Amino acid sequence: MGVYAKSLSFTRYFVRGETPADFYSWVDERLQAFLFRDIDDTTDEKAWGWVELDNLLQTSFGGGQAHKGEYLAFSLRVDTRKVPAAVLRKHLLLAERALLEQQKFRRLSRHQKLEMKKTVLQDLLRRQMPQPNLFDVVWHPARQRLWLFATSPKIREIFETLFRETFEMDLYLLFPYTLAQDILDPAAQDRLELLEPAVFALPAAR
Amino acid sequence: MRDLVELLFAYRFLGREFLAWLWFQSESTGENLLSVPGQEPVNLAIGDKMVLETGDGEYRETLVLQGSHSEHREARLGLLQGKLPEEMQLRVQRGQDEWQFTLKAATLEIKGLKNKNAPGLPEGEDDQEGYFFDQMYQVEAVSEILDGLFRAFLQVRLSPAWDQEELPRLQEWLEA
Repeated sequence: MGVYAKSLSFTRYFVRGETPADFYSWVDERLQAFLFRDIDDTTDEKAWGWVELDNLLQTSFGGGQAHKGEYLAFSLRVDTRKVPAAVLRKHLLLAERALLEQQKFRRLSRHQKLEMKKTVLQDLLRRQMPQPNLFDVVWHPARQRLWLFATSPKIREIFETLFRETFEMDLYLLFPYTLAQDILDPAAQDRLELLEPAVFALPAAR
Repeated sequence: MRDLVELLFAYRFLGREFLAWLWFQSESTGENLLSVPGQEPVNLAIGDKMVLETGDGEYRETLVLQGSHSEHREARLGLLQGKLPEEMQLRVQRGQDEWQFTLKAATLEIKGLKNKNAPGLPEGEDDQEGYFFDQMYQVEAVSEILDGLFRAFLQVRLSPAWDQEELPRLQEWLEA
């Protein structure tokens, strides 16, 4: 999902915290330090990191690639390797048959079954190509706002962890309570703390 | 600040009440413009789809509103029975801009935002940069309008006027 899509979907964040004087070059350095690293030649099930905006393969931020006017824009790449359940089932059956033949049809022990499953899964994962996904991030540092072009809680979690690790800044999801905190004066904030849900049903109907 | 996950859950009602209030506002202003603090007024209408949930989130009902009176009545009855909107499709018009999107109560996240009158995707690669700013204009404009509407909602929700005026008016509308 991205900022260039015809139909836009996004979650919003507040970003606060101390930033160094040479903020923009610091951002480039931090992005460069947490780049996406390919897992094609491994058996890792999942990997994530930053790439250039809307560009799966470009992982260079040294030339200000993330700077767009007042915004900073880059993408979160998440690669996932998954073995389809039916494929796993078939290869487990094949492995079981081979093992049974090998030990002249003596029953497999629990330990053997567990080991077999581990080996088969590792083997299949190695043969499975990871599926890449991109989620765009646009940050307006002056206004301390950020848009993540994703709405899945799982992606939100990966993004939040990686962003905090990369920039060591405070990142808050925007939701009714945090937005209210941002808008309200201290007296109104106190009233918010004591607020009870409204009852829409008329007294007679309750 | 208290734990964010706990707050997300504890104040889920606030987002849902905001959606219900937006619905009420859209119907009570009708063709008239709705004022947004510090911004140009907008025309607000609800779209075809609404998801209602009860307070504990166990009961979930998706209502597809085709614009007929009876379906809106059904959704309003849901509110009287303690269900609240968790997701709502909205149409917001301001000047030349006409946006449509789905707003989710829990996180105020936006799905499927489109502007009917936006300049489309450029043909060549040349204006990719310009397109980025066009797209961010849509994102920022809708974000700001929603923040403004939420501010207007909070102003009344946290004042004595909520119990004295706004809630009775809202109940009257639900019963109508």
